[in-house]
Amino acid sequence: MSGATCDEGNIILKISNLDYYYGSFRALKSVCMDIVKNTIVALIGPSGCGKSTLLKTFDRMSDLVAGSRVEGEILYKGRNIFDPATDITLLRKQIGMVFQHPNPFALSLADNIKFGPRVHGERNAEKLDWLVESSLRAVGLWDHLKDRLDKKATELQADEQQRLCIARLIAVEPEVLLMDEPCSTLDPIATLNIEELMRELKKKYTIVTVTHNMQQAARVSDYSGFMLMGELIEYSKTSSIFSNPRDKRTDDYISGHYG
Amino acid sequence: MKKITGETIIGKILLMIALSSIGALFLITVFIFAEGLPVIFKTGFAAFITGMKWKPTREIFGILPMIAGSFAIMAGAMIVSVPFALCCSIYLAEFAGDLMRRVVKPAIELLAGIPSVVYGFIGVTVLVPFIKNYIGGNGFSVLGCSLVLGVMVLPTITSISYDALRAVPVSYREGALALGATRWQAVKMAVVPAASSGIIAAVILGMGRAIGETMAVIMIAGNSLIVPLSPLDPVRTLTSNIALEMGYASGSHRQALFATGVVLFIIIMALNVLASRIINRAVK
Ligand SMILES: Nc1ncnc2c1ncn2[C@@H]1O[C@H](COP(=O)(O)OP(=O)(O)OP(=O)(O)O)[C@@H](O)[C@H]1O
Ligand SMILES: [Mg+2]
Repeated sequence: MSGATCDEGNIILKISNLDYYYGSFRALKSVCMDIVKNTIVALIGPSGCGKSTLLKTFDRMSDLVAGSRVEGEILYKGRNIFDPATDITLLRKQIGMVFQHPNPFALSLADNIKFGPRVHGERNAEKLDWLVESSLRAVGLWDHLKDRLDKKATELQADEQQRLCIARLIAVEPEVLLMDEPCSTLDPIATLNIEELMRELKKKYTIVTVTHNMQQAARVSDYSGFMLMGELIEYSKTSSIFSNPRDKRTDDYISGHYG
Repeated sequence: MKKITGETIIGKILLMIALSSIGALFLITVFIFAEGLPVIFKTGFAAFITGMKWKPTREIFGILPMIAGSFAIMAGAMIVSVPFALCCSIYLAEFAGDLMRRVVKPAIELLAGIPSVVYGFIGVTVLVPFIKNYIGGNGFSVLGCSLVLGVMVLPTITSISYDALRAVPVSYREGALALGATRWQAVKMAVVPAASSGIIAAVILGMGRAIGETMAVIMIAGNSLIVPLSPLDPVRTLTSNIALEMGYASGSHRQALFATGVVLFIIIMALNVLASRIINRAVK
C-alpha cells in the first residue's frame, strides 16, 4: 500500500487498515492513507469502487447504514474516531460533509447558517449574526445575498445552494471538509467557481473530495487517491499520479478518462 | 376526422362519471342554498349568525349559540388531539422501527373506521358519568365532547402529518446529522419545519372533521341552546341542531335548518380551501 510520505506532525487524518462492510459485502479493503493538513485530497476511481464509503467513514456518517461494520482505525489528530468514547456530534462538527446534491434546509438563508452553531449550543444572537456574515463571505455569497437573508434557501440556484451548504459547514468552525462530488450537479462555470472556492478554503481547512472528473482532480487537488473495488491502489502527489502513475491499473484508468 | 375507438369511448365514459360527481356536489350546493337562503334573507345574515335565540315556533332564528358550540368543541378537540397526533406522527415517521410502524400505524388508522355512534355510546356510558362524578356539571359537556372528538380526529391529523414528514427528503436528515445534530435536533430543527405546511394542513382538515361530526356530538354534548362559558357547559352544535330537528320541522323552521346547513357548508368549505392552499404552496 502506498502512503504519501510527509511530515508526521502535519497529518490530520491517519487511516490504517480500514475495512468496511455493508452486511457481508466488504466495501473497503485495508485502506491506509495519511491526509496532510491544509491540502486538498481527491479520491478518484470507477463507480462503485468505494469512494463515498471511504469519505463517510471519516465523519462516521457510515454508522447510519444498518448492518454495517468497520475494522481498523482512523486517527483524527492522534485519536481513534472509532473509540467508543468519541463524541460523534463533536466529531461531525470538526469534520463536516458537503453532499453531492445541495441539501439546504427549507429554512431562511440565515437560519441555514445558524443551524450548526445552534445545534452546538450557540445562543448569542450577535455571534450568530456574525457567523452568518463571515460564513457567507467565505463562500462569496455575502455581497450578493446580504439583503435577502430571509429568503428561503431552497429557492436559490443550484450552485448558490451548494455554496450555502459549504457556508453552513464553515459556520461550525470545522477543520476538515468532506465533499462528495460537490460539483456533479453544477454547470461548468459554477464548477470552476466552486473549485476556486476550494483552493481558497484550503488555507484554513483540509479538504477531501470525491470526483469523477479527472481534469478537476488534476486542477484542484494536491494529493490524489485512486480506488478500485474497495482498495486504495495508489495514493500520492497529484502531479506525480497524473504524470507517472506507479500502478498499471491507475495508468489505465487515468489515461482512459483523461487526455 | 378522428376515428372512434374503444379507447375514446372508455375515456368519455370515465369523464362522464367524473363529471357526475361534480354534478352531485353542484346539485347539493344549489339545493342547500335554495332552501336555506330565503330564511337568511328574511332574518338578515348578520342577525341570523349573531342571534342568541332559536325559537322555531315563533320564527325566531339565531344560531350564535350553535356556532359558538361548534367552535368550542372543535377547539377542545384540537387541544386534545394535536399534541397527540404530532407526537404519534413524529414518532412513526422518524423514530419507530419497521415492526413498530407496521403495528401502530394501522392501529391508529383503525380508529377512523369505528362508527361514530360507537364513540358516542362509549362517551355516554363512560365519560359522561365520569365527568359528572369527578369533575362537575351534569357530564354532558364541551369537555366530554372534546375528548371524544379529539380521539376521532386523531387518525386524520396523524396520517396526513405522517405523510408530510415522510415526504421530507432524506438529505435533510443527513445534512443535519452531518453538522453534528442529534437525531432529535435533526427532526425538530430541519425535518418538522420542512413539513410544517403539511402539518398545518393536517390540523385544518382535522378541524373540518371535528366541526362536521354529528352523531357522537349529539349523544355527548347535551344539546342545550346556550353559549358555553365553561368546558363543563352543555352545548348544541350546528350539525346536531340540524339532525335533532329535521325529523319534525316544516315550513320556515325547515328552511332555517337548511340555513344552518349553509353556514356549516361555508365554514367547512373555507377550511378545505385553506388546507389545499397551504398544501399547494408547499408543493411549489
Ligand atoms: N447502503 C449500502 N448497502 C449495501 N451496499 C452498498 C451501500 N452503499 C454502497 N454500497 C456498495 O458499496 C460499494 C461502494 O459504494 P460507494 O457508494 O462507496 O461507491 P462510489 O465509489 O462512491 O461510487 P460512485 O462513483 O458511483 O458514487 C458499491 O459496490 C455499492 O454497491
Ligand atoms: Mg459516490
